Amino acid sequence: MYRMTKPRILTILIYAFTTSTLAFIYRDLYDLLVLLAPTIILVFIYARRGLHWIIIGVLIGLLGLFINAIAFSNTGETVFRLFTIEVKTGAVHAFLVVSIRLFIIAFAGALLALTYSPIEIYRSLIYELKTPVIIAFPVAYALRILPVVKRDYSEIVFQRKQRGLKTNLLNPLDLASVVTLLMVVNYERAKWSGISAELRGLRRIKPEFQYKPRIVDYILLTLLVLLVVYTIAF
Amino acid sequence: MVDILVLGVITAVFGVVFYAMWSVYYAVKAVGGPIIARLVTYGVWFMPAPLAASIIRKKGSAFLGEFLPAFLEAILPTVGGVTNIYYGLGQGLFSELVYLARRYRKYGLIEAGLASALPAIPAVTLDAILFGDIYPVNEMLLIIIAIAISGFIYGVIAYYISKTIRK
Amino acid sequence: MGVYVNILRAGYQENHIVLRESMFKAGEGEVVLISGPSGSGKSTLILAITGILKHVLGGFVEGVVDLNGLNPLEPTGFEEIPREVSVLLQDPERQLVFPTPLDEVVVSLESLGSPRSTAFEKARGILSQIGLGGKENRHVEELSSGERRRLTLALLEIGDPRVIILDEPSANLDPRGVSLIRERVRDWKKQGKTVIIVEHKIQYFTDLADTMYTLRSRKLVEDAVRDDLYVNLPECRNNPAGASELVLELRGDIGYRDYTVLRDVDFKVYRGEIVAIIGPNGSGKTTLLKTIAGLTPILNGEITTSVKKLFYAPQNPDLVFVSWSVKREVKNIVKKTGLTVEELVNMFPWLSNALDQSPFLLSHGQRRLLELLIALAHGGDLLLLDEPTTGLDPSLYHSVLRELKNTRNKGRSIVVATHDPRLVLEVDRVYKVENGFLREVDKCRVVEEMIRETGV
Repeated sequence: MYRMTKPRILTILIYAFTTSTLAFIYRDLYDLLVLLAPTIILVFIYARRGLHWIIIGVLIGLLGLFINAIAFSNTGETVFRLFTIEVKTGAVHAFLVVSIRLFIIAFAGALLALTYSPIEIYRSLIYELKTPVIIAFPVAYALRILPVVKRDYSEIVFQRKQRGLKTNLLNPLDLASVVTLLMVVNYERAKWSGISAELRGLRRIKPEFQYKPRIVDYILLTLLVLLVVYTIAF
Repeated sequence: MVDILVLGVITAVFGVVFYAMWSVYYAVKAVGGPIIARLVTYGVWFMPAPLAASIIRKKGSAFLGEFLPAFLEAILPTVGGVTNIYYGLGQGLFSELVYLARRYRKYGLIEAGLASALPAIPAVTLDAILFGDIYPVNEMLLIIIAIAISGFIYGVIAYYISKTIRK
Repeated sequence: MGVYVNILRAGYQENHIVLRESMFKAGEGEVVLISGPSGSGKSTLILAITGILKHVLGGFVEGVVDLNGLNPLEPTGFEEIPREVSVLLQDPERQLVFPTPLDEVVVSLESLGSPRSTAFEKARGILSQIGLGGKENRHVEELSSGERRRLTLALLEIGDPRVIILDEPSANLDPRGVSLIRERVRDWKKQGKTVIIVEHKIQYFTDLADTMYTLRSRKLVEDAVRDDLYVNLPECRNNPAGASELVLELRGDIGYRDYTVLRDVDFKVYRGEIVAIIGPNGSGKTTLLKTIAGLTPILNGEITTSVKKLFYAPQNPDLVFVSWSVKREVKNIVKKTGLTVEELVNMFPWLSNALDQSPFLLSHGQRRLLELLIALAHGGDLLLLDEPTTGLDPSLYHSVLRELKNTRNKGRSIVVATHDPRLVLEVDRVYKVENGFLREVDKCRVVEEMIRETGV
């Protein structure tokens, strides 16, 4: 299959940020739909792998939103009855607006996170976006130890089970215990990693800014401008 | 450099904890809607800021402690996408304010609690915009206070966690 | 040029001296070997002479340090250290701070002044030389331990440092890994580099060393002295195999989805015996324990057991604690197991003094003991202990050994993964991991081998 040229990370960042921000602000159903349409198309071009998890997540969220809409915005004429509850226009409208908003945010996020891997993104932080070391390095190190921390986490849950304890993160005491262990174990690791990084002189790294847009980047940015202008003007 | 990597540890640890929380959060959310879900879990999301500040004790550590895990969530595929970053920025800034008000001289229990309570304000505000739930002012205040109390408790927990770390 | 060190006093906090009156020197192309028992301050010595202790950890160092003309005790000298000096830390895994090998090498090259445009290309060249071509964008956790070791060694040589410092290079290596390091050390000597090796098992490097020193009561003295940790050991006796019932049998392959750690395992445990698993780090001892415990599923094959309850105590004792005070840990044990506080304190009298402390702030040996207590209390009929005797001083070691024997005499079974010849001496049967296979070996022969490895 023909693989589309990927837009640069900065382009996608700008796109994702702008659409998410607009989705946050806009209250008009029509404007939101206009934003959603191109975002869906882009996600299907670039970010299809792993998308089902995002969609499942949003759908579960929608169930809760529906309950919320009925609880807080159930005013106007009755549209239909669900068991004994009268679902009114206010609830339907509120539900639609918020769910489209959430879809835009989830899809815009997916466009960023699924088009590029976390490793590509943090690389771009250092080599293209001139992100300060204090942000880029912790992100890089977090990605470095993430599999290790995940392993620690499952070991901690296992140990608690051996000692006859459940692990319910909603219980502050359980959470405190789990986070304490993760921090104690990994602080030690970070200390030695930090010493090694000092000895290797890694603090000399200077992040750089570099942006080489291609045709696809111009197309995407033009599309974005059109979207913004259109939704503001109409 | 050690401090920078400790921030990395906090980012990864809360990356994992938040990830585990999401499933709990969604279970609660599907049953009780976002507002109840947030009331129950909110304090946890504010925790990394006072934890980072209590361990590192430097300017900006509270802000980065909150912002970086949010940033990580934005680049790993999660439903919140880049909006995580807005929450991270807002919550981080309000946490940092507490330590700023103390002129970065004290990193005690009360500061940690407050640094985890104050983010209730940006969080509820952002939620109100996102979910379109604009309530009357007193109801809004009530929600903020409820979340701030939950936040305070988790801030205190974060403080005690920082004390168990072998330096 | 070369290295000259004369440290008068050094420590982490004022008026707490960890190192004093330590002098050594080495010219170009010379190898210095520094030995000393664990906890004698070997790592502190490395942190002190590289300036880390003073500039990063907030400690103090008084005296003179000259590493190829640089004084790392001065901020300007410390800045230049990465150009002249390379250090291999004890746990090289922690030396990797980036998610992929490519980033690790690129960043190292850049911090030594390579421009970005050429750094990526150079890095790819270096990685393909060490057999990591095609894996440069993999996550380092997905590499094998051998690949990670080659990566850390390659990082060590980037920038052609004049001084190379190795902190316990044999600690995390099997014999093959050690011979790889020995080969490198020989090359470095030829290239005129000064090599400082701080090592517990000095016999690996004595033939390469030009001068030898020992750290003894916080002081460095010339001439290597054999570590007497393992002298005065009782004579090894093979315990008579008593007819006893089989409590656990594991047959099959173990490991993880993407790679098999041990093949064709046939592992048995009988009632009332202590079984030791020995072998180099990263060879699969822990994976075996985890598989028996059920934390890691068996790849193929099966585990048959008559044991209803078992307990797996990991190598890092911190992972089993659930609260912020020893008292609450004890309360939790009492609540879950029905044992009384008196019974627990009787097992380890030391416990009564530690009740008000946080388990995380105890010494490593004390944490190890608390972990063992938890394992003994919860363990049921089978205990799986990963390195239960590391970091124990002689008195703690003996109370641990006493409890292990008591437990065995009560008809419970124990499996230990260990490097400690003292402990292997006391067990009933021994399995050894070698090159991906597990086999039962003769205890006394193995103990002799282990002691020979650690001595001169």
